Amino acid sequence: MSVIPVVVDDLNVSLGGLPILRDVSFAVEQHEVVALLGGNGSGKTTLVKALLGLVPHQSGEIAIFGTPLAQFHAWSQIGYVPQRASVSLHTTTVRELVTSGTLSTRRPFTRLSRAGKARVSEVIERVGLTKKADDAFVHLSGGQQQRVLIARALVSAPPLLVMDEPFAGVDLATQQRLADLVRSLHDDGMAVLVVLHETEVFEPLLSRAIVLREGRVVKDGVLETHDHGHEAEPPGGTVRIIEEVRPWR
Amino acid sequence: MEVITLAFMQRALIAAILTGLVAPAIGTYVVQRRLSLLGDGLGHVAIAGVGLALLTHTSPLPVAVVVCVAGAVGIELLRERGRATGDVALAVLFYGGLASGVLMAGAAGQGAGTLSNYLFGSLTSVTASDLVIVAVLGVVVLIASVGLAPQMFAVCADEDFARVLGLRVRAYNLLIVVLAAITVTTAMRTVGLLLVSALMVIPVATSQNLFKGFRSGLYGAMGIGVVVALSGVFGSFYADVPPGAFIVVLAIAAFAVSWPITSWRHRRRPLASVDEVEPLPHEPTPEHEHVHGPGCGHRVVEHGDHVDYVHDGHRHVAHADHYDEH
Ligand SMILES: Nc1ncnc2c1ncn2[C@@H]1O[C@H](COP(=O)(O)OP(=O)(O)OP(=O)(O)O)[C@@H](O)[C@H]1O
Ligand SMILES: [Mg+2]
Ligand SMILES: [Zn+2]
Ligand SMILES: [Zn+2]
Ligand SMILES: [Zn+2]
Ligand SMILES: [Zn+2]
Repeated sequence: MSVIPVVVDDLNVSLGGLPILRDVSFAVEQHEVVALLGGNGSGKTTLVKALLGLVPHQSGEIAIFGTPLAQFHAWSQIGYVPQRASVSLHTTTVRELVTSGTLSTRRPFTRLSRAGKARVSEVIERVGLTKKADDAFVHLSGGQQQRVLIARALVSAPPLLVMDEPFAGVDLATQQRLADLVRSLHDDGMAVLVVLHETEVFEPLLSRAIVLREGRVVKDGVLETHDHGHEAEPPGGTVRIIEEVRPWR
Repeated sequence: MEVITLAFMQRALIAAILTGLVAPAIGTYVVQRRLSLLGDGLGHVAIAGVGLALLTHTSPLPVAVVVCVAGAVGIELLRERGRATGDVALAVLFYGGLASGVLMAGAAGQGAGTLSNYLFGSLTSVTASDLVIVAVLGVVVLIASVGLAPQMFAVCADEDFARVLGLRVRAYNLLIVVLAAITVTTAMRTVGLLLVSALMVIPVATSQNLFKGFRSGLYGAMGIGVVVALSGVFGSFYADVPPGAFIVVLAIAAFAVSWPITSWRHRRRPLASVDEVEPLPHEPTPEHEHVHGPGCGHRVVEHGDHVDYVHDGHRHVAHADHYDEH
């Protein structure tokens, strides 16, 4: 029963002839929330895209829920929150965008079921945008747009959520609420891989952090603050990795 | 209104209804993908098809459809490769199409007058067999652009996300340009190859001014397209000018009228909409014996306007007679 959501082994990715990712290996297990950290240009987005088959890899293995990426077709099992919204049509409403998240399970020329429509309204409510559901996406603030992208990724109730800097430009209070939402979904069994710059709000729920530098994994381990709930330390401490682990080797 | 009893007018009107529906429908996707000038370029490619047909004494419409679809596939493959030379290649293809079309028509002994029937439309030239082709292809394009709207919308809105949905993005992108090529060619008798792009783009922009949402925008554009195409055909009959010119002028007039309506709607919106965060649904903890408080041993985390206590990996805050999950 326990298939590992993400296993990446010795991944090498070059873009435009330049090596971007080198010998990257890691795994995300079903009970985990894993942060992917690293400076600008360290290769976080490239890793996320390679993992989802959006950029080709030169060598290495990627398996999603135990299936090699090339044979993987159960796309409704993955929720993806891209780093940037590239939504072009300026009349597109929040509801229409979130509804597009249902297409992984819908055949062409079929209508969205009543249950599907209810599910769309439900996730819009969970990200607190019910009042904005029929507004144009481009008229929302940056933080609200980010919440729409999260709702769109969650609509198929995926057991794996992959987010690329979901909190860029989101105020701290909203970050908290979104982290709370992710936590409650994680409690229901969702595995999470999340690219972050600031770990603050996610700290209580992170099981592990992976640090990339120049396309290599330089750290992979348990966070110091994890399982230390009874220490009365100030909130928002920086992440230090105390235990280097590579459990999949 | 006895013009309607004229056989050629009936054919022209039916062709106008189909073109008026189809051009803005596929145009919605073309605009969304920021390929607004694609229709224009495909029109130029189709001219080569018309020239070839005149030269070989065959029927222009089917030859132009084949040439234009082949050109569209070529353009999409170029775009997909993302070649830096794409612009130059497109210019060669587009203007090469126009120039070779004019050359072949000239060589066939047909002057600019014959060709202009295809460039700006012509009421009297819609033959019965043309109408069959226009009708069949028009219905195919309509079924695809309305029936596959959710998929094509997703592909146009966010290509990467569409891939992660498992949609066949390459196939849909190819489908959109092929449908656009068919639309451009079948519109040559009504609006003409040089003006068809306007009918693909302008009603879409007009509809976006009037309606909110992708789907309403799609249907609105189709409605506007039918109205201007039909009116243009009648206007062309009475004013004795090419229908394409009349249709496009009407489309622009409709756009001009829609403009103040948008700004009026925008003015009614509240000026600065403050990002009010709706509270997420309230979630009480199951059972809670322990009482949290300063020095209770649990880590304290700031949370907006209050503090939470970290308790077995959950964050708890007191609320009435129970604790909430935060
Ligand atoms: N299509 C591309 N062709 C060539 N190089 C690329 C391409 N895309 C990204 N790169 C390079 O790959 C490196 C890693 O980029 P990536 O977007 O993965 O970084 P990142 O860690 O996500 O950074 P950020 O924190 O700014 O989002 C950068 O040096 C970038 O210039
Ligand atoms: Mg990035
Ligand atoms: Zn306590
Ligand atoms: Zn508690
Ligand atoms: Zn309560
Ligand atoms: Zn709280």
